[in-house]
Amino acid sequence: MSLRGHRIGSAAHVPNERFLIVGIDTRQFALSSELVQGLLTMEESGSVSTLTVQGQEYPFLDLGGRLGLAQADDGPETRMVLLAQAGIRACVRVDQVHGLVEVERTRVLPLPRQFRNEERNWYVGLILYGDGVAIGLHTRWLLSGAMQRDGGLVNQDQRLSLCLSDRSDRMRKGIAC
Amino acid sequence: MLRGAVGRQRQAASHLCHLLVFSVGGRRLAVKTEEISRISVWVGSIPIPSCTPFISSVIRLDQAVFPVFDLAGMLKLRVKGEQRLCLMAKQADGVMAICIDEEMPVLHSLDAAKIRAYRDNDIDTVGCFTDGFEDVPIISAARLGTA
Repeated sequence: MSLRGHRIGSAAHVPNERFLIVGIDTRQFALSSELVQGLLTMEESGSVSTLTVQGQEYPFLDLGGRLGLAQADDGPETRMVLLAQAGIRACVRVDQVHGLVEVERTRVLPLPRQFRNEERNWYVGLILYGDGVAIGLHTRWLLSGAMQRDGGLVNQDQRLSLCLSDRSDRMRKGIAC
Repeated sequence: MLRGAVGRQRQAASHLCHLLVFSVGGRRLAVKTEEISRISVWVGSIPIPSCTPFISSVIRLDQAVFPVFDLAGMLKLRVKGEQRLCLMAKQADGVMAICIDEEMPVLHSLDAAKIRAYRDNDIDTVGCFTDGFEDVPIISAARLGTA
């Protein structure tokens, strides 16, 4: 599939959202395209804990580990996805990139209410994708991992408000939020 | 006299409890039919990382997605058969799927007075009934996964 996009749904007036669909272990996850800054092969990225791309630092975020997923060996499809929002940057390793999709909001289903625990903070919803389902990751939760790694504040909300209000200066200087 | 007989018949009918008897890992269980919305062939589940006990996957049926309750896992059993079945259980939070053995479930009508308390605590029940020499627990679909 082309990364230029693949549209699911037909009605033009329905609000759409764009997601990058990636595979980790046997699951498919959806990352908001607004977050995604780029993709690197493992040859391009190497095995460093912080990637520097065009002068910007992207600390490695162990997304698979945070979700309790098995760590697969690097393969030809493995990629590093560069993420950034409001001055917070991170890179995550994925086993496969399936493509970029544009999805009508009606096709982003809420997580069933029977899921009652911490995972409610992890996901924005479930996206009907192909014959299956891609799990939409919550941007705020995803990037909170990057801040947690550098910082260590107890309260996640506090971490976010500090970093989002303080933009990139702290990040550039490597000061923990 | 005739009116009285009809009245008694109605009264007797109202005490009947309609159950669906099925098996998970070879263990027989029952559920009230009013708590079941559908039985179909199991289509395979999609795992979702989760901290909720026994709820860590969903199934997709057409344009809808349903959570899966791992009843076999809760009972420390493994679902039997190649052609497993899917029981769709009604809950206040929506319908939930349960994977069960391929053995075809059977309908069973029972006098409600024959429902007794279930001794074991391995599963949340509304009681049990004796079928032959076996106690068959009647699970509470509405309460599965809510503890």
